[in-house]
Amino acid sequence: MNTTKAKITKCLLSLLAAGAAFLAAPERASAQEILLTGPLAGASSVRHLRLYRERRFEIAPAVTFTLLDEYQRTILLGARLTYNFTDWLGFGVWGAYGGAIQLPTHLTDEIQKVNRVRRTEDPTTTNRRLTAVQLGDNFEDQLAGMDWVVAPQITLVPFRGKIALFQSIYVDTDLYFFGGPAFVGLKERAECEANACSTPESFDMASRMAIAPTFGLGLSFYMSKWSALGFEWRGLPFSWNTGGFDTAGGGKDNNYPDTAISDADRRFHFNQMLTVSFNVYLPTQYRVSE
Amino acid sequence: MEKEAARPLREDIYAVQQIFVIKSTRFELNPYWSFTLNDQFINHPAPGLALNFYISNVLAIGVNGNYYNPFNVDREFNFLVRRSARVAVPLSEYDWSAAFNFTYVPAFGKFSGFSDFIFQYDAYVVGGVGAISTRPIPVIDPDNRNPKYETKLAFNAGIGLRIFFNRWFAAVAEVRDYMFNDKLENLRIVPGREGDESTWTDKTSFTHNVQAQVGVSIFLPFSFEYRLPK
Repeated sequence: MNTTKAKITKCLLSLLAAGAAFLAAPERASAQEILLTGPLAGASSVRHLRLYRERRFEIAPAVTFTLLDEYQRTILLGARLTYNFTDWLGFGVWGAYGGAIQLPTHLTDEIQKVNRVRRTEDPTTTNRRLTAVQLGDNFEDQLAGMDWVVAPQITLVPFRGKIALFQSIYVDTDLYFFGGPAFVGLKERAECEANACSTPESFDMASRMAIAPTFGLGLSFYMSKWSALGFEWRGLPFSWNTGGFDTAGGGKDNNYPDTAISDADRRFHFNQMLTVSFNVYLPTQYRVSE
Repeated sequence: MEKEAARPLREDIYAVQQIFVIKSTRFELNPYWSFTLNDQFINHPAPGLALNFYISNVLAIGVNGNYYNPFNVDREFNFLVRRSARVAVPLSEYDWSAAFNFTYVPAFGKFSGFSDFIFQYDAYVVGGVGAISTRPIPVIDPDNRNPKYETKLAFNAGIGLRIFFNRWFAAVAEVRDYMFNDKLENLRIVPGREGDESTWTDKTSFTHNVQAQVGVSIFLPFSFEYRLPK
């Protein structure tokens, strides 16, 4: 037994020694060491930086795609208008209209496929009775949608640099963060009283405005002195009833359906979206740092 | 500027700087944690490990694997859809996956942070082929059905970003789509053959398991030599 233990220990030690020898290969060259003394000591990390943002307006027509949608995807068409006080701080507003392009997901198609067959059955069948409050004639018609968004926002640009593509194309770029309140125009299934939510009229839609925080980060790739391509991720968390279902309001902790459609049926969603934009900067000439 | 010009010259400041990290002929060890991005019904988080060998500074071959088994999570959304619409959605849980991959690094660059410090990054695309082990979670007839895990051919493609802290250590964020033909639970129960395994599944569905992978990269050996002097 001891011999076996000794063998295992010896083997492990040998492996460790081999690993250490492998990792301890000598370092013979070095480059771009941080210079703590000399002419670069205390200097800024970049000289003659092209100040693409400082004291310039940014007008950015944008297309925004919602992500991870349960029942319906929205493509929002809009623009971002920002005034950059400095190269790292701006204030602006993003506005977009989403009422034009709303596309059902595969899950919606599957639910409607079942619903369509079910609607041909006798209304007294179990499935018809249990879904009378939940599903109208056409499931798509009761889906909530984001019709418009207006979001005043602060933009911070802490990172500025460049990227080399295929070692031949060099593009100035920046990475920015933004945040602010968002005003969201929603179309949602209208509220209705208990035991009155299975009539065709009870599946009518209503509009409301939600106020939510919005934040995210983005990348700008500068194509010329006055234009850039932008990619942006945005979080927009708030509660809404995406499927028009009665999911809560009754029973223990109000976690059970109560045959009414109310604000209790709104569930928290961490809504996310991706934006692609074409940014135009005015005036068209940028400044250059010292 | 005059004050700067008056400073003594340092002869080891070079007009052309060398690339910060040479990856060629080095190994990259990349432990990560993955999060499901596109499945509303079941989440498949998993720890994973990738090992790559860089043939050149921009091209690597390697392997990676994910271990999903204890981490599959049935989400509340699944319950809500079933209760509200009385529609059963076939579900799958994953056991593990492994793949052989090629990585190509088309873009690299650097950022100045707060005009105070500089860090390096690169962006890569990755793709490969391998296997994934999955099984349907019985939803239609859970009393009788208990399917075993089966291994399927899986392809993957993704993009990633690596931010270097030094010449051998980096943070990595990646989005990767694992694509495979998944076998789904049969939505019908065949009367009299409830225990017959061949009736438990019917159709296959081409499935995208898109996951975010966040981790670190360790390049080995830690040091390297430049081919040409500065």
